[in-house]
Amino acid sequence: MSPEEQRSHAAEVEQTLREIGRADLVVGIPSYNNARTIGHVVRAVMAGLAKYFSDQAAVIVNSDGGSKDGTPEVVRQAALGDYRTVLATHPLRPIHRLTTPYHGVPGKGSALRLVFEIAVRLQARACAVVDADLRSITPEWMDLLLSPILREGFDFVAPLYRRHKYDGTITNSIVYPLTRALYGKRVRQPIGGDFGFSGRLAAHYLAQDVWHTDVARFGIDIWMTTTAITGGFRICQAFLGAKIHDAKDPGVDLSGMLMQVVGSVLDLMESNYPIWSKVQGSEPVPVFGLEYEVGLEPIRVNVARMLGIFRLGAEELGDLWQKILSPATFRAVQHIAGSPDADFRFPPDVWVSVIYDFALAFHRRVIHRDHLLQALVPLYLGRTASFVLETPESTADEVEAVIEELCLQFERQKPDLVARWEGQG
Amino acid sequence: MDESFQAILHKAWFVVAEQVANFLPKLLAGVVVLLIGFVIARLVRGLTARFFVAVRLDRISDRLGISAFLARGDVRYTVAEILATVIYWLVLLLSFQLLGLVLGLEGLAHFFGQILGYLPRLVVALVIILAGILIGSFFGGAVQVAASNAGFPAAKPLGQTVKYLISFFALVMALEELRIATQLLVATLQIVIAAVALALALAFGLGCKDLAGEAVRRWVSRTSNPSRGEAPSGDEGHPDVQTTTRSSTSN
Repeated sequence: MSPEEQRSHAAEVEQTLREIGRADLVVGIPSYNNARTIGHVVRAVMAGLAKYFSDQAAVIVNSDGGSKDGTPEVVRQAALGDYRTVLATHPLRPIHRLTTPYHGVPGKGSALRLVFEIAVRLQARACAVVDADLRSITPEWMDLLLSPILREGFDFVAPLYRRHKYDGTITNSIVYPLTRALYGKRVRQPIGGDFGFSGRLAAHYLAQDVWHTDVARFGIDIWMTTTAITGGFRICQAFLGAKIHDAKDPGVDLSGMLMQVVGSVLDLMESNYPIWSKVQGSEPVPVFGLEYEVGLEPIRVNVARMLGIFRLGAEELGDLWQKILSPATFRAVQHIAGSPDADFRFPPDVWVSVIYDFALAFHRRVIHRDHLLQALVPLYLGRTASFVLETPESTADEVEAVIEELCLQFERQKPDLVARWEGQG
Repeated sequence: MDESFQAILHKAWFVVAEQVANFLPKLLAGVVVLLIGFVIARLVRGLTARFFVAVRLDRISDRLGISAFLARGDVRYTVAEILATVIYWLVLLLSFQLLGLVLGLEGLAHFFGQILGYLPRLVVALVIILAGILIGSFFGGAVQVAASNAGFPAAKPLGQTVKYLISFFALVMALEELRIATQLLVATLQIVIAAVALALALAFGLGCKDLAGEAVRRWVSRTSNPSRGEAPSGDEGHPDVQTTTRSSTSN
């Protein structure tokens, strides 16, 4: 888009916002080359808004990162069709649609910043954001993400999904247990990506000076959740059913996503130390929506590859791990790396020690932070391989029990983390 | 005879006394210059240390990773302390040069003048070496972790090679800045690189002779008979788990 076109487009958006004036609801859909799936997402959002909030003024904002596959056109052309197929009554108020490119660091965070700006500008009471690559979104998601805010006075709604036991392993092995142990709230999907939040919280998000950091990229999800908790906002969860979205290429995504997400979690630990150091144990977070079992797409994992990278890391990154890990943890990791495939296990207590040692090394800047986060990748793969080998026949409930035990281990070892963090001064 | 001997002694004594009398004020002035220089040096060191604390230089160096770098090199001083000490010695060197001038010892003054004149180059060379080590460490570490995560079996030696090569280039640049002959170093580097390349070529030629021959045979066979395909390669997946298309990364 040329500068002239950008100016013209910005003027057009400004004109639309002036015409809209105020809105009760704003739903943001960040996108980048999602033409294949975004049409379904927009239609589901429109149907949800028309069905559950027909008397509310609503705006759908597609914040696009410069898609080349015609994503904005798909958003503009997406239509609900015959309302009677999904609604008993015709919506009382029109649903506005805005599709606009965002500026700043390319990434989901910058896209959502634009959504926050528009929500604050339109004085929205409740907002939701949903990913553009969702294939399992239904109109009910709008009710589940927005109603707790409009009708129950909550400020933040985190998603709760049914996922395959090998899907979301960064969440299951690091982000959920660590966030729960640090801040004391059992938010099961802190980086789920589909959230509801109040206009008040959108204004709070917008006021933070984080938009040049990893928050502007993948770190936005964990930052939104953590900021809602540490800001003292009322939080809850909404059961959304299955999460089925575009498969990601592990070779491309793993390192970058792990670095940005874990980097954001560890960055947040720095600034929130006065808060998390005082938290003991954890408490459940209210859940809205009826929980049910769903059929899930199988996820295939290559354990041999994960074990290979873990063992190679033990050989080639040993000098870095020695600087990061405590001597006892380092010895335990080397022992694990030397065990044969048949007996391969990465025990929860060693894994928790690894994560806490990495958090401390990040805090103390023992090595460059990018290298530190990359040095975590083989360890994460080792732990994930162990998890897969431990649970080949386990049911969803059994897997959840394993994750719960890991969470409790994180909570048990937290006092040691606090003592060492303070000891460093 | 006696008179002339006494006169000579008297004259000699007079000359020595005159010289001492002439030198004493200079010596006194020199001592005063040294004392004042010492006091000013200490004062400036204290003031600069306070200034660096006020502008939070140590926190900045923490953020830039310089403190961690110094700690890894067993340097037990903060960046602020190091800079304050450097300034302290600069003022002292100026005092020594002034001392030489006051005492009329031109050689001494010239010597310290030359040291002071050389200092900017020394500082630039030190900065080049420090930057080289930092950049070398950064890229060496980056190559090591990236190569290991990509499954490259010699990630550590590769990272170390990158680190030491960059540090070596920084050293050559620093020596050039110090106007120390670098031709010998550059020639040595060229010889080392050539020797490594030759060793690799020989190792490949001798060690992979059969493999290369086999590869060429297969290529010739394929080009002369394109219908014959190769057998599919084996599945590297775990026997219990299928090969991945979408592994443990989607969160």
